[in-house]
Amino acid sequence: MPDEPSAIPLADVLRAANELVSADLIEDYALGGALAAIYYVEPFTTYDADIIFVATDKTLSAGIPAIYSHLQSKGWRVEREHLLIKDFPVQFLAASGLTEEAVRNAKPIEYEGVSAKVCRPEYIIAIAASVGRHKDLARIEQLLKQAKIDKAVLDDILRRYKLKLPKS
Amino acid sequence: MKPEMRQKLAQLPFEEKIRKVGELIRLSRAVKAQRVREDASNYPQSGRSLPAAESNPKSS
Repeated sequence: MPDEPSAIPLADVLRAANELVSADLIEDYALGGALAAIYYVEPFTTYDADIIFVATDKTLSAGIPAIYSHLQSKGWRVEREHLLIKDFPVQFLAASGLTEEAVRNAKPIEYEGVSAKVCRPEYIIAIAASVGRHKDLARIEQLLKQAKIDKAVLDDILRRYKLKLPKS
Repeated sequence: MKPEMRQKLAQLPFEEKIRKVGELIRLSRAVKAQRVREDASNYPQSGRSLPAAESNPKSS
């Protein structure tokens, strides 16, 4: 069924993120987390999307109230730590340090005609190593097996942020 | 699944992979809903009768 719309409204999510940039509510963003990993590896089940953004507002709130208010005015709903579009949960995560560098170096993509950026696999691995939950370790292993990794770039990121990969 | 097959899936276009994730979510929800229906039919009054039955095994 090629014409059936995706259950994951990713194009809507990315379009909304682009609008936030145009409205100067965020400076830049990239798709992170599981959906970013899926760009490079086999598909697997995930129940939300992570948008990592560089805040325009450099105060502690990172402009999150204005971001929420803008998206709610476009029909998004708030449910705990998520914003929902078409019942699909999206987390907007303010970037700093490693995650900000990941956004700055993200790969430009086109998704269903929408321009966007996705974190590079070396950064997804480094972020997963810094978080270190069981699912993050599984993600690292999957990326190392299935994605094309620039080892020099990965080693440099890991060294600068004092991170280590789990022993396999 | 064989590693070659997994590698093949990894090389699909991103849009296609996202559609497959959508299918996985639908499937997972369907399985959960089916399980809930089965539990409800196996234990129609589980909220009240189970604790009593468990506390007195001879009562059933």
